Amino acid sequence: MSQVLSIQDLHVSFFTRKGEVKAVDGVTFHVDRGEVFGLAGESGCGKSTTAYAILRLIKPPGKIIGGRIVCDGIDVLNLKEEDLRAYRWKKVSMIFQNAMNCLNPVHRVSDQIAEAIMVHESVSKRDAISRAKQLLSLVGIDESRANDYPHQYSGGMRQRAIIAMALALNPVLLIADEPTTALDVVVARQVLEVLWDMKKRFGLSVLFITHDLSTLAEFSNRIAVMYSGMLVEMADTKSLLSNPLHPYTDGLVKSLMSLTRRGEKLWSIPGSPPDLAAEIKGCRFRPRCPIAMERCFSKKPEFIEVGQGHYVACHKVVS
Amino acid sequence: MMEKASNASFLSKNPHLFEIKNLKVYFPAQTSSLIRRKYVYAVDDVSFFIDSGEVLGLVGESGSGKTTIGRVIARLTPPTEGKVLFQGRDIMSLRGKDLKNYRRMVQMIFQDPYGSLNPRLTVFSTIAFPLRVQGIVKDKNKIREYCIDLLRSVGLSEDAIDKYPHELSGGERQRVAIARALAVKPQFLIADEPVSMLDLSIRSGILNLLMELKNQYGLTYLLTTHDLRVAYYTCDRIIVMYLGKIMEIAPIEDFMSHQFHPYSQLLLSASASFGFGDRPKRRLGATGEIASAIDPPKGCRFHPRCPFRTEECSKKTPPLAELRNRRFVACFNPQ
Repeated sequence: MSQVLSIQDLHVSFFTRKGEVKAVDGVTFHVDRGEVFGLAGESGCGKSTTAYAILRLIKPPGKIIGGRIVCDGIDVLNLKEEDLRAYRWKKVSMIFQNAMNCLNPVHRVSDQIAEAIMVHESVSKRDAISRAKQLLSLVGIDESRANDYPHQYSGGMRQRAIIAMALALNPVLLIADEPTTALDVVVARQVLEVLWDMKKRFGLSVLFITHDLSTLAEFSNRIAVMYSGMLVEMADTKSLLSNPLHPYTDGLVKSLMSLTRRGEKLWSIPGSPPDLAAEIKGCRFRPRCPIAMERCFSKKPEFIEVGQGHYVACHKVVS
Repeated sequence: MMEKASNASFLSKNPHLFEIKNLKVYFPAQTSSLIRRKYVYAVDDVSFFIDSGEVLGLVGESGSGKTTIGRVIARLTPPTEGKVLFQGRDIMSLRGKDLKNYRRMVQMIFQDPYGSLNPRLTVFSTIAFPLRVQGIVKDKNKIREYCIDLLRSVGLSEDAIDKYPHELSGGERQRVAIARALAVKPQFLIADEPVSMLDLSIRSGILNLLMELKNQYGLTYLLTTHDLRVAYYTCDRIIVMYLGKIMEIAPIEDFMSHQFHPYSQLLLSASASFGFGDRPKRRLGATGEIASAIDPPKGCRFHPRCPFRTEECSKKTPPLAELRNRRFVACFNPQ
C-alpha cells in the first residue's frame, strides 16, 4: 500500500518567555492511502500541533525545528510560500475542532463552497455551485437547503457542510481535528458515519485526531498514541486496543468506560499530564508510570518495532 | 445521615428526599416581534422524585433541560410553575435561617473547573469562604487544619492549599471544586457534567472519587450527563430527557437490558460501545437532530425523528406512565 503522508522525526517548538516548549519532539509515522489513521492523546500532548505542521500553519512563537514531511510526493517543509496555497486544500484539507464556526455567516453555504472551488480551479460559477450542491447531498444535506445561510443550519449540518467543503477539491488527505467533540452524542455519530462513508466510497485517507479512544476503536484502521510531544505506541487498531504494550496506552484502554461492566472501580492513571516547559529526564511518562525502572529515570526510550507494525517506546517492554 | 432531628418528622410523612412536581421553566426568547413574546420551553411539566442515598442520573443531549432542573433544585433559577419539595417543604418558600440551611445541605459541582473557581482566590480562601459563611468550624485556628483534611479526602496533597487555580491541572481543579462543595457537610450534591471537560486519563479518577465520597458521607447525588457510559457506572436510576420532557425513567441495570422509548434506544446506539474497527453499521434508527425548544414539536416532542411514530404522536402528548415496576415511559408505542 502506498503512503499518502510520511512524517519523519518531526520537531516543533514554541519559544515562550518561559523558554523553549517542545510541543512535538521527534514524531515519526505515516498514513497509508485509503486508511483512517487515528492520532490519540490528551490535551496538550502535541497532536494538533502535528496537524498544523503538516499544513505548515505553525505561526511564531512556534517553529518547525526539524524533520521531514512528505505528502503525496511533495516535500512539504521545503515548499515555497507561493506553492503552499495549491498544497493546502487541494492536497490536504483540514476540519478544525470548532469547524461549525468556520462558515461565514453572511454568505450562503453553497456560495462558500463554490468560492473554494473557483479559487483553486478555473470553472464557471454555475458549475461550481452545482458541484457544491452535489457535495452537500453526499454528506446528507438536501439540495433545497444548499442556498441557506449557516445560521439556518443546525450544528451537525454545519459540521457536515464543512466536511463537504473540505472534500470539494478531492484532497488526497483529510485531517480531522476532534471533528465531533463539540457535538452531541447522536449528532456526533451521524457525522462520523458520514466521514466513514466518504472513506469507503472515495478511498479517502483520513488523519483522525481525537482524545477519545473509543471513537477510534470503531472508526480507524491504525492508531498512534501521543504523550507529551512524543509517540508512545503505534499499531493497528485491534492490536493496540486488545494488546496495549505501553503502560500509558494500557491505562487509557483500561479506563475506557464500556457499557458492559458495572460496579467495579474504574481504572485510573495517577497524576496528570506534565508541563511541557519543564524538562523531564528519561521517559516523560515515568512520574505516572506503575512499572518504572531505574533506566527510565536517565534514558529516553526509543520508539522501536516490537511486532509487525507494532511500535512502542518503553524500556520495560523492549527489555 | 439525617442528623437533624427537626427533619425527621418530615421524613416519616414523606418518603422521598426530593419531590419535583409539574416543574416548568420557561425563559423569554429573543425575538424580533415585540407583540408576540416567545419562550424557550427549557423544562416543560416534569415530575419525579429523588430518594435519599441514591444516585439519580439526568441523561440527555444539550438543550434537553437537564442542567436547568439541577439549577432549579440548587435554587439558582426560579421555576416558572410547579414545585420542588425538599423533605416535604417547597424550596421557594424557604426564608432566612431555613434557606441558609438549605443552601448548606444542597451543593453543586459545575461542568467547567476552569470557570467555577475564582482565579484570584487561593485554594484555602476558596474552601474557607463557605465554611465561614455557614459557621461550620467554630474555632478559627482550626479552619486551615479542616481544609487540609478535606483536600486529603479528595486526593490532593497538603501543599495544594496555598496555590491559585492556574497552578492546578483540570483534574486537580475539579477536586478543589468537590472539596468546596463538601466543606459545608451537605446531604445532597448536584453534579452537572462533572467529567465532560476533563481529559480522558483524569475522568475515571474523578468518578471514582465521587462514588467513594458518596459512600463515605452517605450523600445523595443528582448527576447530569450526556454520556450513558458515565451514567452506567455511577447511577442507580436514570431519567432520559428530551427537549424539556421526561421520556423514560428506569433503574440503570434494567434500562441497559431494555429501553422502552425509541429515543432511549437512539441515545444508547449512539454511545460508542468499544467494539473493534471497520464496522460502523448504520445503527441509528432515527434521523435528524434535536429541535428548537422555542417552538417545540406538538404532541410528543420526539415524534419528528421517531421511526415508530403514528398519527396520535403528532396530536397528543404521551403521558408518563408506569409500564412495569419502577419503569416509567412517555410513549404511545413503547418498544
